[in-house]
Amino acid sequence: MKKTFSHLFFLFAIICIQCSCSLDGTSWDIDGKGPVLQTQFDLSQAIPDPHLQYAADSAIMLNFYDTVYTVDVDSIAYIPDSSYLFNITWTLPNINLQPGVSLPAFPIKIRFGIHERIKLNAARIKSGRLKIKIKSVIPRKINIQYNIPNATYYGIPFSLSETIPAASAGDTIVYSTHLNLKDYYVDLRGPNLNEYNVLYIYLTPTLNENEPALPLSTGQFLFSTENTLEKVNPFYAQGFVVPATDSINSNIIDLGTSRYIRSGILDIDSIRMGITLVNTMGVDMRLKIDKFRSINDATGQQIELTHPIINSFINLQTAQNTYNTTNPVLPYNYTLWLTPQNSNLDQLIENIPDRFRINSIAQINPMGDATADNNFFYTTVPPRFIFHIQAPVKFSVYQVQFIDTLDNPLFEEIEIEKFLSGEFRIIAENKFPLALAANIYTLDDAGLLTDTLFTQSLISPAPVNAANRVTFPLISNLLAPFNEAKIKNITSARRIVIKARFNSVPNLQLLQMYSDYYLKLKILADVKYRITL
Amino acid sequence: MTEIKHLIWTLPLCLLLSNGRFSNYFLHKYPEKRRNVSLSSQAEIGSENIHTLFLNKFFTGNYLDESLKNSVSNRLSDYNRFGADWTSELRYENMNDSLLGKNWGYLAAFKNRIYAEGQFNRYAFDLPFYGNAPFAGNEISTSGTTGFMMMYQQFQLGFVKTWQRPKSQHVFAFGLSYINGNQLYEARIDSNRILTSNDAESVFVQLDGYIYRNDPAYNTFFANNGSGLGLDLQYQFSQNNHILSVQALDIGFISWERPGEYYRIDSSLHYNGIIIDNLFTTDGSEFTQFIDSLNQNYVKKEITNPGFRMLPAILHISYAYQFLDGRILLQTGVDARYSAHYFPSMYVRGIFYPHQRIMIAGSIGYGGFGTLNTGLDLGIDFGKGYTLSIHTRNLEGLVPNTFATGLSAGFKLSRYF
Repeated sequence: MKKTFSHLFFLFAIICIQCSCSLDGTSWDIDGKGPVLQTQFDLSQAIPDPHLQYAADSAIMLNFYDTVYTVDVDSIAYIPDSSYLFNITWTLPNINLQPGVSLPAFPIKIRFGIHERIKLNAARIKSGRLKIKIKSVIPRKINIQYNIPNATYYGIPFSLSETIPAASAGDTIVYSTHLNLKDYYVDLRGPNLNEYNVLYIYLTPTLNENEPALPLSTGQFLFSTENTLEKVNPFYAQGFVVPATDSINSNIIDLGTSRYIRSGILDIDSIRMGITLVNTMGVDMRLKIDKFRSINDATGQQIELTHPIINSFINLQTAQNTYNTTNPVLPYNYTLWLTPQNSNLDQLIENIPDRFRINSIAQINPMGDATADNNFFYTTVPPRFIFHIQAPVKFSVYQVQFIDTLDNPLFEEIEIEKFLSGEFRIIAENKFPLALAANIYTLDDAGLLTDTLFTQSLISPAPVNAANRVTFPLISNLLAPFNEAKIKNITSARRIVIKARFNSVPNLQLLQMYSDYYLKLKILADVKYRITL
Repeated sequence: MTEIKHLIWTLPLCLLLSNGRFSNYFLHKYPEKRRNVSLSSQAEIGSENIHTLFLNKFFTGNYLDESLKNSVSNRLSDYNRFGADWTSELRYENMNDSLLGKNWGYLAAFKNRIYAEGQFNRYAFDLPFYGNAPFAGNEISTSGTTGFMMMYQQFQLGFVKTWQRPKSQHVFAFGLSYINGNQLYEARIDSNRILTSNDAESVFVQLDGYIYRNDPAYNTFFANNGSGLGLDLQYQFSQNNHILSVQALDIGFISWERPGEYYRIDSSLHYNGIIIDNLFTTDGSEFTQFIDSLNQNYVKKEITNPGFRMLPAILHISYAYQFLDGRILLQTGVDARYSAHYFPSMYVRGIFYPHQRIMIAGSIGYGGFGTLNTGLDLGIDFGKGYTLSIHTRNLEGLVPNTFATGLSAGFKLSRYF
């Protein structure tokens, strides 16, 4: 019987083995062939369209502009959070206050802004609130009238009425609320229009009509108020901007060029570079540029601008207040154009700068009180520098080398180890008169070269005709064959290096770029790939 | 009269209202016991041209090398059948119930059946296993590839009537089943063309087909996605040493009423590579966007019910003759199915009892989902009414090889009381 059972188990085992199906790990190799991706490059992709202009013959002109520096006006109009505590005491002779009778209004003064930078006489508030707290010890129910006649919401002065319950003996009644100041216009000149940065609150207590008479004696404490300005930011400020001088030492454009372009000769035709200073404040300003430098971080080379404007004051007249909500300021613009004729601009550009740096001083309201108390500014429209470059896209490059080193990003998501062997081919249809030799290299942990991706890596330049114009593209093939060893090198690489060398052809001759120039790339695969379930 | 009764219940009858290729091998040991409870399960998978070595490697997580793929591909014809059937059953029989009258019996069974079948074009194998590169420059097509899988549960009540004559016996059985349509998957490629250019610059794909699946929220065992009815009929005639049996099983349908998901494609695509609009601004999302756009532009999703589907009914006819007082039986038969992909299966079988408690049967057949097959049944009587039998119709496939194209196995554990 035991033998029978053992045979049975053996047979069951066979059945169980046949039924123990698991597709996990089932794998096989396929030969795949087909296009992977295609893309087309032209100059409008590298430079957004608003910065390009096209001539009638489709020649491309560069008209680049961008705001590169903004003056921080929020710091001028800064209103710090602050609390103002007032104790209200009966200072008149003893009286017996009858129901329904009001006491005289108590004025409370709070301060807006820092008068060292600006003496405000009015402001419109963008955000913030006034927190109000009243602590009463009056043993009667009191009606409180809280008025701020100089804070108006589209013409309506702020007013608040509240009833505060009677305080029992030895107790204090606390009442608190807050006022959202958004869009309030505040006149900060005080009741006699001869102050600045102040706002008056008037608090009027009235004995409730249903309460018995309230005896008040001289020196009797009635209640206290605490008024707190919280996170108040003006949208518009008007007053007197205190004369000040600020230094502006800043990179006004940061390209990081030398991180990628390591060597070569770049020649650009007829370039001009501009800096527009936009004064949006209702106050005169002056700017003196001490230095303007082109800095190449890789070489350490710094070329200083030579131009008559250096160390001279540029007067920026006051902007005009339009009082138009959508376009509130008519700014004053001053543009300084640098050309190869009026400056050493060529040297600045051929330095292949990583950045341009400006060292300057700005004087605000240099004429003191010449504009009385009508200085103004909108915090949403700050003064700024706009940087321009205008040039025909006409250049020559010779042996300009682009290098970038990256942590190995290759193909984590597509499981590159499943590519066993084969070839990736890039068909490059080039209509630029530029030759490009590009390759990707893998580096090990020690930074040593372990492999090269492309065996053929040259994109040939499209030929130009007698007018230096390309009329038809040239097709090149780039090949990246691989096998298991190469895949291993790629997957184990710590870093990769991308190198590309550009030459315009004919060499050292300025070549105009046209809008019909393009580079089409199509990547094709012919690979053995392992499918694993 | 006793002799006749003995004759009825001692011959290795085909299982009443159940898979005809499986028999009650030890019924003769328990002539007075009329009740039986059993648990059985049998599974088969087969194809005309996919051999057991490939199936074994594929389903057990192995690497499929070129020679293995070639050994399948080289024998493929334009259209190739495949199928699988796995039926498990718990049943109770009472063959002499006094309530129903003289010579009446009844049975009740619960069955679960997973059934799949289909056909595939040779390129439906070659393309996924070799890739498209070998066919570059030639238009290929997987048109006509189709398949489905259904799983259903069957609650059956059957009745058996015997008529006894002095030298013969007639048995008629019929059963009705309520069927719970549990899962249905279907796929069909009506038309398809694929052309990879020699220079790898483009791939053209035209496809007209669909995939259907049940509502994924109702995909658990016993979930009701449809209902149906099934009818089983069986007639058995025996005289002296001759037994003739005719079975018609699973005649019925399922109405798949709960809406499921149809994914239909009727489009063509000229693929030239994923387009990267701007190398300077790309974040690589074009690849996922391409997949999404395929789903959006080419795959049409419909929520609808697939309606009626006939059950894969079985017709089985067998004849048996016994020698040496039943120690040896020879049986031959044919079974066919309501299926376009099941070739009628013919077989001959010898059943031998070397010991009163041991049965060995061998068979050879041709057809079904596969081709030529050899079978082996083993049965053991443990005494006290307990019996166990195991079988395979594909002995040739037990050791994976490149000529056998089917795998099957089954067991039945029963007790007579």
